[in-house]
Amino acid sequence: MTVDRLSFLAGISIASLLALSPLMLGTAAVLVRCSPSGEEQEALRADLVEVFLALQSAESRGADISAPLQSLNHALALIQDGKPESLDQARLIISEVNATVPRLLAEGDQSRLISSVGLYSFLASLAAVGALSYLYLPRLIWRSWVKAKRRWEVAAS
Amino acid sequence: MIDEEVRAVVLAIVVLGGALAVSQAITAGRVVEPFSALGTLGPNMKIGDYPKEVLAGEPFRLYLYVENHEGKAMYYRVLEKVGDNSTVVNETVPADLPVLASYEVILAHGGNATVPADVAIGTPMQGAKLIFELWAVGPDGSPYYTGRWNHLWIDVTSPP
Repeated sequence: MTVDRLSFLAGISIASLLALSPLMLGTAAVLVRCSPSGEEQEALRADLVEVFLALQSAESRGADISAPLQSLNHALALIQDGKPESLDQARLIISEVNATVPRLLAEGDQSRLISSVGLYSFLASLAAVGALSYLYLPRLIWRSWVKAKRRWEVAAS
Repeated sequence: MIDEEVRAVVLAIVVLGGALAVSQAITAGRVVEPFSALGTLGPNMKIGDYPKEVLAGEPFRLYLYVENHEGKAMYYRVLEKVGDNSTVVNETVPADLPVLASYEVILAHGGNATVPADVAIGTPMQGAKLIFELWAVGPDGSPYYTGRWNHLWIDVTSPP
């Protein structure tokens, strides 16, 4: 009698487990569904870091990256917000900034070239001014001295 | 004779002026001492009006001030942790505690930002050490501790 009752109870529990299994699976699905948002946020953060490092490289070459940095900051705020539409917008911003990286790198190279040319021109002109000063400044000084003392009279003592 | 003396003086001036100009031209725009700064401000965005006693689980607002003088753009993360009297945190070692929240900001060289931080400490405790650590993203993309941190001592009481 007891054994029958036990087997009956076991049957009920198995049946209830089977009946509840779709619900349990549903719960698991809900839990899993929550995590992609976190995973997506992390993936977007990783993308953002990659783009940021590319921008840093462009900056070290001399490019002006203030505007793309602002965009990345906006994307960062959207990622932290975590809503699906915010994440979509963040993804769009990151890809837009990423698309500007090659242009910024080229700009950086150009800017570096210009600054190098400027520096060498400055050094060359400095050297030229130095040489000219050394050669002609004494003559100029004496000429001005003579002009300043034009009214002087020389008398034998 | 006098002409030679004048030439020597001119040469000295030219050499000195040239050396100065060359050093300025080469080091222009270079950051001599790069640094990052982190400051914690109270609810009124001022230094010194920090809460001394809060209710457990009740959020309160602080502001985090981050400044970049590293000579390049920086991606900062401020990590929020809660410890106690025994928690070790210094310029080289970050607190070995779980991160409760993280605040992120990207700053250009010379830039600064004030980020609101809504802090809630869940467990009642006397002398809670609320720690904010400044981390940055390194050249390889992994975060590193900048050695800058702030901490506040707060008594966390149970809600009535």
